[in-house]
Amino acid sequence: MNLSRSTAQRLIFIAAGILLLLLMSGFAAAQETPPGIPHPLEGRDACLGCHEAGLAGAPQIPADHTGRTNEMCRACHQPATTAAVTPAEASSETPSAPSDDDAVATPSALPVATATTGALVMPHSLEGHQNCLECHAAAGATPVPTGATPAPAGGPPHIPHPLAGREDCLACHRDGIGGAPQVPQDHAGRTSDMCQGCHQPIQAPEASPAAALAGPLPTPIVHPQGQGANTCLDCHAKLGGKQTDMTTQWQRSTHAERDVSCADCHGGDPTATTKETAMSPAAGFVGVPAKSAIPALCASCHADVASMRQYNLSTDQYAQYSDSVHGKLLAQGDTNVATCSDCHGGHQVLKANDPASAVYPANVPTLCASCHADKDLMASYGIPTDQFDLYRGSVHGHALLDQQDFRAPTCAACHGTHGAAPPGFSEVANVCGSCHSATQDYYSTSAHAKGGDTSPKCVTCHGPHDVSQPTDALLTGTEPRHCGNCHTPDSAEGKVAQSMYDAFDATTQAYTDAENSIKSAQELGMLVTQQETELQQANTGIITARAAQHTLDSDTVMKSLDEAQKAADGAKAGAEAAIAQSILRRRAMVIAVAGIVLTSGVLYFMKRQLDRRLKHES
Amino acid sequence: MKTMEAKPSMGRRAWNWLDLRYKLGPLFEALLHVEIPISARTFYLGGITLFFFMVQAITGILLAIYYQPTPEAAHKSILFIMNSVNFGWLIRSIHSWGANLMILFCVMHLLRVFFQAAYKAPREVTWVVGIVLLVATLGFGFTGYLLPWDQRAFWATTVGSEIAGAVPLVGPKLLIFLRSGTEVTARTLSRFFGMHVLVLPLSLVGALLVHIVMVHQQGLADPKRKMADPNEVALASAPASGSEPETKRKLLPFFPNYVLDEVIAWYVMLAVLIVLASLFPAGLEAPANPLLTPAHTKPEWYFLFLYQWLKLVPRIVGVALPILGGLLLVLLPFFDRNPYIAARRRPIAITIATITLIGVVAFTIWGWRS
Repeated sequence: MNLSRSTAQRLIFIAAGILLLLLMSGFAAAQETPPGIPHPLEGRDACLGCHEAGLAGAPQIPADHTGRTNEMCRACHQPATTAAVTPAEASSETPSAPSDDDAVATPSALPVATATTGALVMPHSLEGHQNCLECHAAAGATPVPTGATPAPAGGPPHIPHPLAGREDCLACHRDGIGGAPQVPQDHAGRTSDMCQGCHQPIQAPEASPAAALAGPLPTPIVHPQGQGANTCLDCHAKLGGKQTDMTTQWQRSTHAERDVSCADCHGGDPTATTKETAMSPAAGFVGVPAKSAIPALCASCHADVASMRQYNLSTDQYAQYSDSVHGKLLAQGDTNVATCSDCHGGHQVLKANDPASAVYPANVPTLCASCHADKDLMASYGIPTDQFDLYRGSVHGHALLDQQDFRAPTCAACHGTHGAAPPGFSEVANVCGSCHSATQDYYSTSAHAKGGDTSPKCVTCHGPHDVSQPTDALLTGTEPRHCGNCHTPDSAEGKVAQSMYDAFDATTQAYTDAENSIKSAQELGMLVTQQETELQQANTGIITARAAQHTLDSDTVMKSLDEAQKAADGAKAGAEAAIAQSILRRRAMVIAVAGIVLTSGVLYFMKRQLDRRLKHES
Repeated sequence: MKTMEAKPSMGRRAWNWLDLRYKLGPLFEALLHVEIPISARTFYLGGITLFFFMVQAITGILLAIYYQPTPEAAHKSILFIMNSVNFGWLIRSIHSWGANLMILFCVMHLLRVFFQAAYKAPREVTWVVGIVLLVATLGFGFTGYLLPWDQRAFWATTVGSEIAGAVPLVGPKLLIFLRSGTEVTARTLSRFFGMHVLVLPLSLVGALLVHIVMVHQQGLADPKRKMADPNEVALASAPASGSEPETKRKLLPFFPNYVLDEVIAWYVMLAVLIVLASLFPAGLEAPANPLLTPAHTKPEWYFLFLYQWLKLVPRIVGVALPILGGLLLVLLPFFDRNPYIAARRRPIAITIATITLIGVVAFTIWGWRS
């Protein structure tokens, strides 16, 4: 058929228009925003590494992307992570069903990420969420604390968890992330800010005093950095009296050596030259920290592994302190207890191995006694105040304080340092056994160790603070701390104690006899080195037997004592032989000297004759 | 008529046989005819010192049979000698006491010679050789002390060699030479053993021969003579002029009189040695431990005066004075210009000597008790 020119022109125009439209729609379709990147980008620069072959669930690149390189991906695909962090923002922009800005706005990107990568993405912002354990208390990362109660019948369920930092309800509840109940169908279209219109927070149960009164979080004081400057000293060193003392103390401290200066604990601006600026709250000035805040203040550095690593210092002091008697009482508001500065000093903090430090081992008993020997202070706690006096007179006190023997325990060795608490009765053997390990091993096989809290532990016979030099006399007698205090002499146990006592008596007597013989031999000038060695072996046997008596088994004890007896007897025999030899020598000496004197006499007689002859001749 | 000749004894015939070949006659004449003035009062101190040296040589040889001069074996070998070798304890104890007595009598002999002015002309060189003998004797004491390698030996040697190191100029080099290094080690022990057993015995015997020959040549000094006279020996051996018999010295026969006297003195000293060795046998401390310094370390008694002196005064003074004193001692005959023999005519010498002697004894006692 023949079309007229104008009709043909119109047809062409219409076709072009349709074509254009098609093209445009196609273009529009093509311009549809490419899927966002639902996963963090750190360490994932090589997109094609997964997406080329569709590894690990990653969507495979479409065919039309062939030939494109890793660098080109980000030109079109944007990260969806910002949206994931602030889903509230995103959802408010999309009040209804997911929009075309699918990948960017909806948190449905999140479950995709979860499904594909397997990693659980944080569904809420970090602001105000630094303490994860605040909500995620025990094992199991459910946001739901224990003790959640069900909703009243028929009403909307209560919110069973704290609301801090959880303004965006839908972040978890839309898809049921982390065990959160999923919003029902009839809630479609509702936004996070509408939830609390019906759902009320649960009335939180009375938190246990321990949990509610847990110590403050270690938080560094924010203040301008000094870069080596410390103008605080310029004034405080010159004010005289206590102020100057403080600065002198600080300058001698180990903190000063490490550039931990005034502002790090008190806040303020260490570069300012006027008091107003230096000590302004704006500069973070805190002044004298409250006693209850001191542990957290110290812990802000000393519990930080990264900072303390270079000094090879442990970082568990705060955790230990929080569990100690001192820490628990402080958390309850008792400011009479010891905090960090009470023991370590405030400004004059020195290393523990510095003899001038209050926590130097030799100084620890006096330090603890500064509170624990104060009757008025301890009255309200019902704690006795004689521990220092008892300790001072004990073998441990004597060794540490008189002989400077640092193997001896201080208060802290048995009670703990930062986590100080008196060991329970059942723990005593382990505390004493940390040094007296051989004795503990023997004790643990005995009937005493197996009787639980009703049978004696170390302190029962040896005392807690007033540990005295144990003697064999503990085996006999009926006074407290003696075997006879519990076991009558004619009981089987009493007889065992008596037989041990007799055996010790005999062997120590043999040892003393050998020692005396050796000394006599030495006084006569005889060399008895071998006998001295044997005597030392006997002593070792006796010491072993003394430890072994904690097994309460005669046979074990007798084995060591028999060896000791044999060694002592051998030493004595050798020494006696040396003495006999010395006597023989002296007798021989008399004979030899007598012979010499005789000969000399004869010669002298001859000399006299010669002299007489000479005189006669002259 | 046949004259009955008595057949000479076997001894006589042996003597004649040797004399014919070696002209023993004149040799023995010289040896046995030493001039001993009748007024001589030696107290046999020099002879006793010689006796002790002979005892040391014999007992030393016996000890050297069993002693092992290494740090690992030394102490054990001493214990073996003391406990297991027949009479080992006696030999070692005699050697230990003999050393102390030899030094004591050597010093007493020096004092006798000084106070009797026997060092003056013509006996100057005899005196110098005698000082050499004294130094050698002290060297014996110092080197022998280390050989047991016990704590006392090790640390006393450490302290003693430090004193040697304090000498100006040569001190540090002397210290390293003595110790064969900067510390007392196995090399020190080797060196000391070699000195004690080879170098010093040969040196001492050589000097001793010279000393004894000199004494024999000149005879003993007469303490009653008025003045020192360089011509004394020449005059004495000059043919008798016959004019002044009364000035001729009265002499005691060296053999047998003086020799017998000496032998008696030696026997008495032997008895003393046996008594001391039996009642106070030589001790032995724990094996040497270079890492464990004993609380109190002292050198042996004959160095105590020096040790105490050095503790008291600044190092310069402490070192200078003994060195000066030593030089004085060696060169004494050459700058003591006073010819008189009698003590009352030598006030300065006697005074200085007495004060020095008292000082040395006092410092020794002080050092002992500190």
